[in-house]
Amino acid sequence: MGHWIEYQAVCFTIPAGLRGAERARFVIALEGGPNNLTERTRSGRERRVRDWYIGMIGTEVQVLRQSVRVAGDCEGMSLRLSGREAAPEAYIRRIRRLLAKPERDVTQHITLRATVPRHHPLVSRAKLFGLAEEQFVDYGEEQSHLHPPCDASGADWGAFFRAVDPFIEDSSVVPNRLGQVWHLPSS
Amino acid sequence: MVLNEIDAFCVVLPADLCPMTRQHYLRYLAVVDVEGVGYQPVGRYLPFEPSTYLIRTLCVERAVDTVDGTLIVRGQRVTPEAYLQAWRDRLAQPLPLQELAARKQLQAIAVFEWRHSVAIENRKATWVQPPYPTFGELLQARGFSCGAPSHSDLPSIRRLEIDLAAPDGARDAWWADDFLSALSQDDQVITRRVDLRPAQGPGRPDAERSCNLRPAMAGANL
Repeated sequence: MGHWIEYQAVCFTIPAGLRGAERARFVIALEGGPNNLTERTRSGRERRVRDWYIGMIGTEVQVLRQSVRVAGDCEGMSLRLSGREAAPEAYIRRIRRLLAKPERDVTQHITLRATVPRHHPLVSRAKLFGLAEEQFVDYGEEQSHLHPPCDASGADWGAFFRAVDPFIEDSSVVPNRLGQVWHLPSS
Repeated sequence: MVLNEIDAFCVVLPADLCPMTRQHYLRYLAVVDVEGVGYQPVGRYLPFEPSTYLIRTLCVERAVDTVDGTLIVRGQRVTPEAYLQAWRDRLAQPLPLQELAARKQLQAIAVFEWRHSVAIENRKATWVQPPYPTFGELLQARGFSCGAPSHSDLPSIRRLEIDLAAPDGARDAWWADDFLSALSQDDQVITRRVDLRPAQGPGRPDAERSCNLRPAMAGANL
């Protein structure tokens, strides 16, 4: 049966005050991919497809709540760590360890940008907080990118989090739809 | 709102519960007692789950709320890891279904309500070697008189209650749920659930709890 493999994980902190953030936030970037889809590397070696994405995002409590939800997939092995079986409890402990030692260069590796269907309630809410909407069509489905407002000092992540917080709380927008991960080495 | 879990246990279901269960691949019913709410099963509909699915359900529906203290256990905050470990301990020593009344003074009752029709009555089992080839035969075995409703102006709502601890009770509940859970019948099925009720005294026949709803009762339920 197919399963998802997580290869690497990095935690970044967004300290209070950085780009308008009112309180400390965390971003867990994960490198992962399916077990049954492969690609050829430049050297011709076949390996499983993998990519970096935002696995969890929010305050410490929000991230831990997301980790417990994801950890459930470890039971029954539809989620494995580097191909190995892990218990949900071990997965949660791993996220705790990451949260305890976060990296600080978040602006180098993370871009915040929500991607939701065009009629999602976040779209109208985001406008109240000054987020810019960019409409596009993806595989025939109308979607919107929602970019945080920008000025000379960079994107206003405080406004972004104020807009998306209710949707993080109720899990109606998954973390990997809230931003992108850049410049992290592939495993 | 904080939910205080004051009791929790796992009930192990019989090996002949359904076509997927065997002596070493059993299913469980997880039960919690929440202060001010009472005993309730973990999960939706008839949550008869293998242990792996149960742990997964517990992660998503219960352990997640221990993170911020929305769910506490006997008045104390616990970590999600400790919460899950407690459930693993319960799974290692589950409560046999037949001991539920004696040890917890509880009865687990599967409750089904649906808008009856010939199509539902004639629904065939989708698994090999079913105990009842059609839903109608299961209903007859449970004391139902199938046929046209006497009050044609009211929807014919039927109610089936099965004590899981009764002979073949858990098995019949699983099959009733399977007959009623087909996607094409979604709008016809009103309720599929497990109730935890205070145990009744001995001698009450199971058939008494399997009945056609009276028209007035059916109207009230609508």
